[in-house]
Amino acid sequence: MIKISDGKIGTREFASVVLLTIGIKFTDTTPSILFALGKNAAWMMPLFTFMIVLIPFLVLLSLVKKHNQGLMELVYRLMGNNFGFITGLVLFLILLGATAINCRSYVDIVSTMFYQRTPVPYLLLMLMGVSYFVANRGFETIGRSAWIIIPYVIPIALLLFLFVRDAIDWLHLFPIAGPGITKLIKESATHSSIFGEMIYLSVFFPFVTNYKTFRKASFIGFAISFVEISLFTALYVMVFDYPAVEHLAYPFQDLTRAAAIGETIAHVEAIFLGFWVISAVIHFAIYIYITSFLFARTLRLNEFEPLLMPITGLVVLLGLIPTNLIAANQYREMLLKISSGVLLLVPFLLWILDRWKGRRQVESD
Amino acid sequence: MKAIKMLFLCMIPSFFLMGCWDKSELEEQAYVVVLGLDKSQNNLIDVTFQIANPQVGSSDRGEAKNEPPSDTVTFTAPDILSAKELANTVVSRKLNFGHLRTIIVSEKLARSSFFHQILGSSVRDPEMRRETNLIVSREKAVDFIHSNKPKLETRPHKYYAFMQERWRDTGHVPYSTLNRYFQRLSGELFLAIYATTEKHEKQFADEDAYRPGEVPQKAGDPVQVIGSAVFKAGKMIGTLNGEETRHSLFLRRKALVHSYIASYPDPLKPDYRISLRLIKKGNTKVSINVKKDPPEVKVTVPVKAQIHSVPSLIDYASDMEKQKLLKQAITKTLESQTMQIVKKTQQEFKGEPFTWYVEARRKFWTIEQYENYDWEKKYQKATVKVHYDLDIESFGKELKPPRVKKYTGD
Repeated sequence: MIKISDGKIGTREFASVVLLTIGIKFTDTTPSILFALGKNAAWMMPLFTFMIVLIPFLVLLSLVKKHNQGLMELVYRLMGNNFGFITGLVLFLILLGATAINCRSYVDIVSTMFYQRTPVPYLLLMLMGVSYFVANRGFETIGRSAWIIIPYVIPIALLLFLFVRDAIDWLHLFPIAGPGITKLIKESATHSSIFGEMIYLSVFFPFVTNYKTFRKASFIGFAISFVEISLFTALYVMVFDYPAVEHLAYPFQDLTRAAAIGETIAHVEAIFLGFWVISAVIHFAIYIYITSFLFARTLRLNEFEPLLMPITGLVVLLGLIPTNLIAANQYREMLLKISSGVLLLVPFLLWILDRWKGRRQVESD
Repeated sequence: MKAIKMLFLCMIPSFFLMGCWDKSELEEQAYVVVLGLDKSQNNLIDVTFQIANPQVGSSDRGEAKNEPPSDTVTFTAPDILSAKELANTVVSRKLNFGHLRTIIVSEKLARSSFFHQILGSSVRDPEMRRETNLIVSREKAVDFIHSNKPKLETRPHKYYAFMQERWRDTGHVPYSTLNRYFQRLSGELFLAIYATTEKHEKQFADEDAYRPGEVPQKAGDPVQVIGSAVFKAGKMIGTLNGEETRHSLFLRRKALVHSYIASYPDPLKPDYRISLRLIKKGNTKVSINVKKDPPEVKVTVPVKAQIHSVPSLIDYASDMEKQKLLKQAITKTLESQTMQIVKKTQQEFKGEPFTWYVEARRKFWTIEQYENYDWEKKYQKATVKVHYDLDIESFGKELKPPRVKKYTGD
């Protein structure tokens, strides 16, 4: 059956979007941040973070259901014009910073591991240019492209387990608690915004067919993403062993270089590079889209797609600021600490305001 | 209008050709297949590149009749990367490590603390792969590479690729890659392949107790690869012979070497030796009791044996009593040999190459507890018990040894 497109996407498309926003993170510098905090038990941190972020997410979900509106509409409705504007602006700035730093780190990976002599600005421009091209087609296209590639990307990523199986020793995961469970939980909480996209993705509510689809797709997406990130973080430890794994800047790319099919077919990293770049393009298309959407809603503009181009340009320029990876990671660490608090608080704040307003409404009736 | 559209359409493919910064022409590459590292003066190293000539051994041979299969050049530089650039003052093609699978390090460099600095800094280069094999040569690496002239392999990379397979078959040498080296830097022992092209011939009754160069050999390629170089904290501190290496590999929980053929003294006629194939039946069981002081290590190695030749012609096969005797004798020999190695690692090397540390780590809840426990120190005093769980699986395809009819004078 051919359905007439209404610009909205269904469960599988939105789940794919979630997967490409969060689930892709095991391939970038996120695991190295996790290893620095959680040592050999870093693989548990995504699961803890998931549980921590799940609470504000559920709170937000209840509000979304009640008002049948996305995050930004809720912010304005419950916080009023002035506070709504400030909150919107803060959310926008955090996401803009995160997009810029993330795309820089992706470009750094490509630049150090594959194309050493190609200038970084050029790579940055290429990546964001293509992402803009995808984002410009609208959210429906993003969702559908995500769904097209997910059935290939995940099995291919899982093939990596097969290709490196000789080097795996699961005993490397011990001592099981790493730096200690309390430290793990504490670090997961303070760095929970590594996976803060869980909150951000709810701005897409208006683009999803209905509440049920939104809830189902979110949960499917989150569950697979966090299991995936956890699994791969564990794989890195199993292959490289702690403390050697802590020294790797890009564990995923290093692992793909170690992968081999039998004795003769040894250099298979190109397969992974190809699919990874395709996923990265969609990943940043989603980021640019949310960023522009947030900006437009903060300024209460109805049309936001013309903003995609200037925002992309801004991201490219901001991405050029850090001189190298270490500098970028410092910015990222700073941003993570600030944003973790904000992202966890916003849903609760909205919920309290909702309660308060609801009571006042009942009183005035 | 149509013409302009067509023109634009034709221009699109040219966009894919953009970004030529990292282009690499196949024709202009020089593939380094073996890298040799030697200590030079003033914190410099001699880097030797053996560059393969892809034309030799291919159907394109006719084009380059007089070219040798490889070219070997040596440069003195502060590190591998700068030597790579320096090499292009001589070599016409661009050096590429894409097919580099073997690094040969001279013992002199390996025994200095400079070794770790060189190797540790080289992995920053994305072209260096962690799966590269590490070989320690008794002599200078440059001499090793020059003397290595395998008669059966024209192309040098094939030689190392095949030898690597044979190493897995025989277990005379460990499986040593850069990845394993970087895993074992905090006090554990790392075993690297040990080799030489020089002769220091010795003769042992036991055919695998050799170190490289000691194997009695006449004619053929001078390279002998047997035994292992022992590294501790990034520095070579000693050697193990072929037999000790085999035992060490069997003591590891998960071994890449599953079987090898070795000979053991005949229990009834000690002058003779019985050859048999030992096969590991499953993972070695290692249980470590860290609550006791000194810690207690119990190791069970499940093996089965296939008897191959009995030169004393004693009929062990059909006599159950003799079978039992043989089994006990082999087990005893294996256990006493193994205990000698364990003693050696405890006293001489003060560390273990058996990767028992991963088992010890299991007993701890956090990294801090494990680090405070200091397994390497505790291991030196640990009481180790090794038990071989041996079954004789088969006696080959002859039921009885062939008898020569005895003549009683004529």
